[in-house]
Amino acid sequence: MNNITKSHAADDSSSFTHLPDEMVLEILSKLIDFKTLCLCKLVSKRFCSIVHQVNTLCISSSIDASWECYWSAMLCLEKFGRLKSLCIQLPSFFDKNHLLFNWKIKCGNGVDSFIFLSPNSVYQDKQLYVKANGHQEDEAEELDSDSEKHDIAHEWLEGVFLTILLLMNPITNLPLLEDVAIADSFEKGRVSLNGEKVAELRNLPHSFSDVTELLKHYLNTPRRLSCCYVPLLELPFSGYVMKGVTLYIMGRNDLPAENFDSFMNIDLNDFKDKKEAAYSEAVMEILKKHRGDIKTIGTRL
Amino acid sequence: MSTSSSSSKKIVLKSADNETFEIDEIVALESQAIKNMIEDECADNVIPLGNIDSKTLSKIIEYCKKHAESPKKDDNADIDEKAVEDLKSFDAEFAKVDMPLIQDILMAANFLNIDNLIGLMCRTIADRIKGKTPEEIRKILNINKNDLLSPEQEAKAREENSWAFD
Repeated sequence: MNNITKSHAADDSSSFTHLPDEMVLEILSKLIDFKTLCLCKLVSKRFCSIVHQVNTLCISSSIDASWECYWSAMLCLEKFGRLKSLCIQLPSFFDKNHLLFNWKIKCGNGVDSFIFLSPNSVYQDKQLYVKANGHQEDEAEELDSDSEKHDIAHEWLEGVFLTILLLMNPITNLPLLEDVAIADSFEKGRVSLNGEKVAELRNLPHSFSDVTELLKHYLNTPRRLSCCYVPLLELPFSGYVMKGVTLYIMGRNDLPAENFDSFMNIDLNDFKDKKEAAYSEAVMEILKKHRGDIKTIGTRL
Repeated sequence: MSTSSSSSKKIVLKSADNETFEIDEIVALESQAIKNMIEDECADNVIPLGNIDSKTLSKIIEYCKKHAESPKKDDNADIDEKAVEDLKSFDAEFAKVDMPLIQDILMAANFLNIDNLIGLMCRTIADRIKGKTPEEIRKILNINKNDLLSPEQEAKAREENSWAFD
């Protein structure tokens, strides 16, 4: 064991020093967690210079974090100039039984609207539905859980809205970013933004000089929450059957009402994930056939 | 080292401390670097590995043997779930060694170009530093003192990342 090429034996420089940079990056890339990565900057000069090269990271936000805290985190985020894929995990306020799904975000001159679907139960095909429910037609789903569901949806959509506002600043400094996901910690609700949407966000005129300005914008954006309830939805394309489906739409108040055209005309063949395609189909079905049932349940300003 | 009695082709690896290891060619092919050497026919009977000691090399051979024996993921046939589980638990056991050896294995795996093993070692190191303070990480990895941030740099970094400290 006295070979001179042996890396660390009796010499006091650590073998870590001999690891090539690309291996250090490989290690740091496995950390994923944003907070851990930021703490790594303090470890050494080398860590500090390599850590900003990771291309995937996940931010878990905690319920008690302050606005200033988020703001400083975003300032750190924009240094990760090679970031390609970002996941933001919001605290979960979901009842475990609710299946929730975010579907789409529309941007115009800012973030205009979100659409959000929440079925009580989902079956992959008619047979499974019949097996679970028998042949008798269900009575209209009980409405008692509605207000709770509305609250959850409302809180979630507000959380997503805020998260997107927070991203407005760093996103302009992240040219390679092509994929953003916002999810709750149970993965019940999820918004995915692909390359095109990310580019749209990047090109929005908004950026905020400080956290106060951001909060002001957040509080002063007039918005309303509308919903539409469909007891039973059979989806011809995907074959799925959904029960007790509520569609939520949070949109800006000052925009022409119920302009959903951009949410329509989605090619369902484009989805790799079957379930995601089914949810998209459900949203389009509701907008097509039940548009008249959409009612406003809350407004802000 | 090798006890295989099959008639398959053998490759001999020689460590930095001049220990030789005779292994089946199929095991050696787990290393992309050795594979390239064999394909380019520039490998002699004995392949000298002047920067890998025998302790590290025997660990690497142990890993390659196991992985060479296991069914490959890209075989389109249904992979035996038990085999996958078995390999997973082998990997977990394999990684239960001290940090200097992990780093040596990583260096060697990088040199020999064994993708899975690089991934496993990087994951292992990442798992060990997750949730640790910067001071603890320095200790775990035995970071060289010359590589520490200057007090000014450190103060600045602490300030910027103050939100990350609980």
